[in-house]
Amino acid sequence: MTTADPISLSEQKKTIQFTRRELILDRLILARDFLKRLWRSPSARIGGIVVLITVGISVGVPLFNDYDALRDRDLPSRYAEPDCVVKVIQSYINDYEEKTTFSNMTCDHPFGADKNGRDIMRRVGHGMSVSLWAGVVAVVFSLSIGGTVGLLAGFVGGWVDSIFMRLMDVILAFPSLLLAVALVTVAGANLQNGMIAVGITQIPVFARLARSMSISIRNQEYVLAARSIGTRQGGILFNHVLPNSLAPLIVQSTLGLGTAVIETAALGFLGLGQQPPYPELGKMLADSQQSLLSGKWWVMVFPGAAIIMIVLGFNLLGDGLRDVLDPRLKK
Amino acid sequence: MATYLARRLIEAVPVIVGVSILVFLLLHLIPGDPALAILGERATEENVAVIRERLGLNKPLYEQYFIWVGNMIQGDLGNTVRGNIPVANEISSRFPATIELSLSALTIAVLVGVPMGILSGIRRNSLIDTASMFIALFGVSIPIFVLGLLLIYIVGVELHWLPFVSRLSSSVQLERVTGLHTVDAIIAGDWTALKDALNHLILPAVTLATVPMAVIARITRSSMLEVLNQDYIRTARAKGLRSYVVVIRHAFRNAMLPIVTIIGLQLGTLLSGAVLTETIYSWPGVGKWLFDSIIARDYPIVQSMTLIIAMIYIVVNMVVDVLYAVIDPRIRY
Repeated sequence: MTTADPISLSEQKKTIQFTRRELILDRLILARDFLKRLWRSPSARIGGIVVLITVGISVGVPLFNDYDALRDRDLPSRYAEPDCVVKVIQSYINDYEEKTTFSNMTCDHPFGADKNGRDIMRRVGHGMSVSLWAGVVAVVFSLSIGGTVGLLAGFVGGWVDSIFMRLMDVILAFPSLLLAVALVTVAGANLQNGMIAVGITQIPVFARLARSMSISIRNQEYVLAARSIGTRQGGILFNHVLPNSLAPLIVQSTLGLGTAVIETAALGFLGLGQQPPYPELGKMLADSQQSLLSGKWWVMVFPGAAIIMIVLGFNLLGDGLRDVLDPRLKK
Repeated sequence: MATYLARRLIEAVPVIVGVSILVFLLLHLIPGDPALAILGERATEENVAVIRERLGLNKPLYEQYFIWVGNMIQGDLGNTVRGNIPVANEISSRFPATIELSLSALTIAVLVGVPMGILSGIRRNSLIDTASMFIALFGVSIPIFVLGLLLIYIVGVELHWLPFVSRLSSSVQLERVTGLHTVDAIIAGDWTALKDALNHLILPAVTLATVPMAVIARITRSSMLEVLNQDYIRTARAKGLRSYVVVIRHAFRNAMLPIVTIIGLQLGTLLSGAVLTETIYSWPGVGKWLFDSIIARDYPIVQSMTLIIAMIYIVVNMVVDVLYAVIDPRIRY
């Protein structure tokens, strides 16, 4: 009984081998169960719907409506007030003599127009697309770098771990927005550099999370078992550590997307993001400050609401995902 | 404890060195000549040479780094590039404004966030819980600049309730002692000035407080929930202790560690937030100033300020660790 009988082993394998069809079916059932559980969490449900709407707007608007800065200027309609549904609601709240109703409303500028007469609704649509794209790029950047660094540092341990984690401490010792500002100033103020800068400031968050997951998984019994049958380090890292630490990383990515959207918009607000005239929500808000003092609220409210909608959606979805994916927190 | 603190201090050294190198390199990587930036496009070559000499820009990079570190250790922060004023003077005149703003914001955040979290923890799934967790979720989802502009519009422009520009009305005079206007007003016994300073402080402080408040409330809730499931809570209830005693003395004390940790971590959030808050409310602190200095490549200011901030960050984290042992006597270093 020193070696296993080769024939019986291969036969054993055959009996437990699934057909391709069964495997796919199995995955589909898993996915369906996961979505079912997700749907049961109210925050994931609302968040998911908001995220779907956000993604719809962000993909749809640039697809069906080219932004042309020159054509967008329309000085005669400077600071046009919001009409359409907003006007109807306003006329009922303030009880105007001549009520605007759904039958006699006009829809030239549903969200009003800004100081250059540009339609705010169109700019908000394009701005949302910019913000969402920036958030996704930043998170993918920090997840891929931070995740790799953290998993490796936790898995390998020793001086590699020390060096990488001290490096993360250095990044964390900066207030994130100021670090992003400094990075953008070095690289040049534009949207691409803004996204990457925000991504860099978020790396330590992912690295620390991945490291803690990696350390706890490294000592699990199934890893010991894999080690004892001679699986290589790389195999353990890819087949055991990585898949088992994915859940918290996915949750953190969803929550981090909200943060990244806020931070890139903050860079835009400070004039370091998307350069004009292409619309960006943060820049629109910065430009609204003057108009706000003379009571033109719509210039600020709609871009602000758009940012809140994106961030709130992802935060809700992240909370819901955490309830479903992170069994440690489920009670 | 002493050996632990000593070890922590030694461990902090590489981080501070790392921060100083990173800041130094970042600033010197910014394209463009700072001498030209100061003098403008029409600068003569002689003037540029003079300025470059004054800033030590002709020396090799590593030499510039060591000169700077040497000066820093001796307490010489250098002079600002714009205006040639000692950086230390500028910092001491601006830092109190940011400290006053951040401390008020943190106080509001703790005073609102902790009770909110405790309440939602003990009344789980009640209306209070749902409402405060929605507020907390909204708090982390609304960007500071959106909330700031909303408050300015509603409270300042429409309702005229509170001022939203600078720290004091121009009519109010205040002798400078600590630089914190509220404290100075109390020292001077000048109640109109105190009221004026507080009025100016409310909107910026509330704006800056929202994110930390929301984060603290969420952590408090989850930490309370964890503790409330413990056996000793059931024992305490079973022996007939009044419920507020159980909640405060048994549950909250044991739930405090994560809360203190997260409060310590809010420092970075506050300083990042201060940049935006100070921009929106024309608050004369270091946040907006530091931002302007980065854009203007005013090396001495940015280098000293980032190092100071990094050191504060490290010190606060050490204080948090010491607090652990105070809160939980089982923790020994």
